[in-house]
Amino acid sequence: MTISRQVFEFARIILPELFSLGVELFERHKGDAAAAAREITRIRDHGKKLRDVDAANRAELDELEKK
Amino acid sequence: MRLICVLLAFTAYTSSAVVLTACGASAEMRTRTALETLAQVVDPAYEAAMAGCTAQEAVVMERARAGALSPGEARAQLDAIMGPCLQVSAAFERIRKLHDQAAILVETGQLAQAEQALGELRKAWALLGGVNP
Repeated sequence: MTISRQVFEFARIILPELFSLGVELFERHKGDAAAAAREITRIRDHGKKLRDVDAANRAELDELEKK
Repeated sequence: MRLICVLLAFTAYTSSAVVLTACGASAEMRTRTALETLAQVVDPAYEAAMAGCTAQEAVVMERARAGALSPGEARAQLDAIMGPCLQVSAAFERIRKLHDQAAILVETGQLAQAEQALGELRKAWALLGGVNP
């Protein structure tokens, strides 16, 4: 097999691989953009609401005590 | 021959890059999905637990307003309610912080650390009696 034939055979193999790599990188970039746009759902601080309600209740009890 | 060796090396490099890229994307998606699923389970559980505590306090306050309890007695009852509620809240807060930490790690592409935080998060959730999805 001549060198030129070897190069041709190699190119025949590598060109589809390079095309796949290009597609993969494009998909990856698209995925990154979509992931950046979609923030992971956060767990809310429900404890703060309870602490606020408790503080308000205790303030009301102070007021009741004063009367 | 030299050209063929160079081309072979390039092929090996591009193939490994494709494999690594695909694996990285898959791990990110897996961690992201696990965090989303946990948030959807933990958030309502936290809300329900705290709502239960608020409702118990509301009952005490109604009795205090009606004069059935003195302010001192009502305060003591609020303390008795808040003690365990604050412990539960602290456990949920730990989970919330681990979740936030893991989410930031995923957003910044630090997947190994994110998966570690996710493991801690699963343990904390199981300790609280939660079933890991």
